[in-house]
Amino acid sequence: MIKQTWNLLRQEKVFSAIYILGTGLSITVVMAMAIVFYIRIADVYPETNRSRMLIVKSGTERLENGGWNSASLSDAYIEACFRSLESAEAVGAVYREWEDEHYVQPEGSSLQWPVEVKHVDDGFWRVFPFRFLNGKPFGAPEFQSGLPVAVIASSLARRLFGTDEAEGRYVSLDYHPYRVCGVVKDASYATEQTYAQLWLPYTLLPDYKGSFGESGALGHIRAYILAPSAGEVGRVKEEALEHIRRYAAQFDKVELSLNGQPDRHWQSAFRFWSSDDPDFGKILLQYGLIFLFLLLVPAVSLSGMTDSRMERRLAEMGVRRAFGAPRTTLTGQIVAENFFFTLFGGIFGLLLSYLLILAGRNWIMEIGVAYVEIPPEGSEVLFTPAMLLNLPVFGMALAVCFLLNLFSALIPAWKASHRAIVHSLNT
Amino acid sequence: MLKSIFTQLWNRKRSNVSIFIELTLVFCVVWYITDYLFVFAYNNSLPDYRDLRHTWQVNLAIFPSGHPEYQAEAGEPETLAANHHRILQTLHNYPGVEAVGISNRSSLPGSSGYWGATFCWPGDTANTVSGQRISISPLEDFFRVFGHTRNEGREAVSMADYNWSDPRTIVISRSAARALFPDGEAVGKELKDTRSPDARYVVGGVVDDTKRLSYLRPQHAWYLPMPMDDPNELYRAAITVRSRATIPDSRFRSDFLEVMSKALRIGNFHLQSLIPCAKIGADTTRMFGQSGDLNVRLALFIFFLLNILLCAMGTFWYRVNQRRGEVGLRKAMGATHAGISAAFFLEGLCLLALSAAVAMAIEFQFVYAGLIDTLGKYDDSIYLPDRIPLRFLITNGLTACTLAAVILIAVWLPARRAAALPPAEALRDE
Repeated sequence: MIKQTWNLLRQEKVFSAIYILGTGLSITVVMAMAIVFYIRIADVYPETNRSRMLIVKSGTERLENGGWNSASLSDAYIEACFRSLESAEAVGAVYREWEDEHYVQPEGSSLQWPVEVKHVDDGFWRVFPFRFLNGKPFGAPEFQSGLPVAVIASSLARRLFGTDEAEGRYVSLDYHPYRVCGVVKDASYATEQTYAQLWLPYTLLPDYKGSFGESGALGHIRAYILAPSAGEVGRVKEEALEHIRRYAAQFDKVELSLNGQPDRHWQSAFRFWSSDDPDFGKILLQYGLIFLFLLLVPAVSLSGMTDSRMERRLAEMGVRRAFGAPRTTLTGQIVAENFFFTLFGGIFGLLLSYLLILAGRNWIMEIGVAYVEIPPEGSEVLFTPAMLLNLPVFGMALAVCFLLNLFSALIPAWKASHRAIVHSLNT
Repeated sequence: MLKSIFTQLWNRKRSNVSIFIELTLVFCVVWYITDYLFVFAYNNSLPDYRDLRHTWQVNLAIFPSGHPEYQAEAGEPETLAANHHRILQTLHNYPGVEAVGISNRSSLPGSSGYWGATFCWPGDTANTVSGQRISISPLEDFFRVFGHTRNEGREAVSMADYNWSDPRTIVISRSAARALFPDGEAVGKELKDTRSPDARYVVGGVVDDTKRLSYLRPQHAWYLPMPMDDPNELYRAAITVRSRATIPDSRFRSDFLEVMSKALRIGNFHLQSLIPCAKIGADTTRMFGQSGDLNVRLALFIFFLLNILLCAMGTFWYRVNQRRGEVGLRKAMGATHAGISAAFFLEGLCLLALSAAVAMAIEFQFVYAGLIDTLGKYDDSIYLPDRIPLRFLITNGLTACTLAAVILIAVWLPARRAAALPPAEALRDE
């Protein structure tokens, strides 16, 4: 069959090229989207525990007078509801600043470098297993005492000190000196929950205990809860919900809600506004329909081209039918033959999708994002080979090829094999 | 000729079905994207009566208390105000700086923050008008920094043109003046802030309209004096400068950072960064998801056009092969190369016309159901995109022209091949 397909390909070079190009094009777009969502949802460094993680981004207070407040959560609320979870393996927290412009002052230079800073707790390092190239993360004593210590990214360590061996050295951030306690392998801006060049204990911030609203639950912090395994996420969520209910029950005049949170990681990727309670079923359906549409439109044209090719092979079909070939075998053969064309297109499309992702790296991760976090000047989204070249991505590409081939070849194959033998032979 | 083309299309209806469906689907999607791009381009073409070129935000920061240069006494309100004043003088004295402005941060052009306010004329309290509150210091020249104008761009304005010594002075945008006083002059009229009924203002002038972001429509704006006696306001205020147009931006930036990193170390203040004001708007556009949205739509636009290109090319390539006999016969009867090619081109365009008719009927359902958004629709003002039937015709016309161009390119290669067939060789197949 491979030989026959190869012969077909050589006999009809221009047509085959057009067919493969068309297939490649549709696979490029679908795979680019699939890879973007893979990077956003799958376990990728340093967010390698996404599959067993729960995320709480925000809460909403509804007041008696009809007003409402919504924001991230307070430290006290995280302490009361999440750090006390018995079933969780670890709980991490990230403080979100309103104005987060930060600059590093390199020694001996009057210029300052803009850097991305994250203020986190000690649990953050257990939830997100960063690879430490030197030193170690700050622990509970440093966090609770609010010591000026910092974990820095390898790229920043090399830029500042020329080496990864920076433990014990000092970095000046906004004219504050911080002792470097660890150096980690860089995270990509594509993993924006964790991305930074410098991580500090949020207890260094003067108002980290601050809260607003009526219940004391709203503040600036997001919580990341790690379950012992993916199978136990449900159990951890149940316990968290119980804590949330208990906390909310203290207030008569305020209705406190986390709008369905804690979310699994993939759900959290679709939650943008603090007062929203997204319908995840609807979101999945929408994306499913978009994927299907992006496959169906080219499938219609590919189906037309396959149909035209079948018209030229009707005589061959007639002869094979006349000699007793069953219709199902013929249909299966045509679909299988076509699959090789689709596969060629698929390989071409996958390569093209990598090119598209790399060329559009500064905006492609913004697909489907309602509110974009702006990276500091000069930083770029980097894609690691592990994000692009992996079995799930290849599997998705193969599945897309299979689906596209089915859409584009099944109907022409069925039509060709069901023509009357006399009619087929007459052509 | 048209009759024979439609006969051909009918005779080959089986193979035309898929290209017809494809064209109809793609026409609908391309129209949807074209409609968005049309409104986007239209909004961008609307005049924004200010000039963000060569404008910069000067970000200052305060040394932390543990820093060797920190001076405890510089934190006193009087010293702070005096140091802030020295900073402004230093900026004025910098040779590349043409003007200096001070405003609230949310009042910066393109800022992601928005401070709204609603005003009415006490003589007609039912007519309330909402717009952006732009809080500016009368001590500096915000209007000159951002090149504000009046009389539709004919006259540049400066803060000095208005009497800010009266704390009730308010300058309003032309659209706000029109909305509040449709029949008369706004200057000198009293305005009431609907949220603080005791606060009264007097219109000191009218300036041209500006847009919050380039892809939006002009909006109503209220320019109000910013209280500068509160020391906390000094920390929060945004300082902006206009550099001389004769100095390239990159040179101004590098020179400014080098010189002012030292010169602006006054009291506890130091220079943190210098950001082009155009970047503020670009970042906000990106933050609101607009840049990504535009990129995705453009990528899909190209994707669907390439799809139709390959579909038409593939289909017509086969069609030419199947109709070699017909082509040979026509050539033998004296048909020219151009005539043969024209027949294929017309066939493609007729297919497009048929699918366009069906696609427009589908699109109409979307429009009728109100599923088509108008980017940047702000108030009751009527712009071209608000005239839905006209917009429907224009965007469909643009879509049809785009797809026609794609079809002609797609059919060109097969048609050229058909036209080049020697009649004897083509007829041998019969």
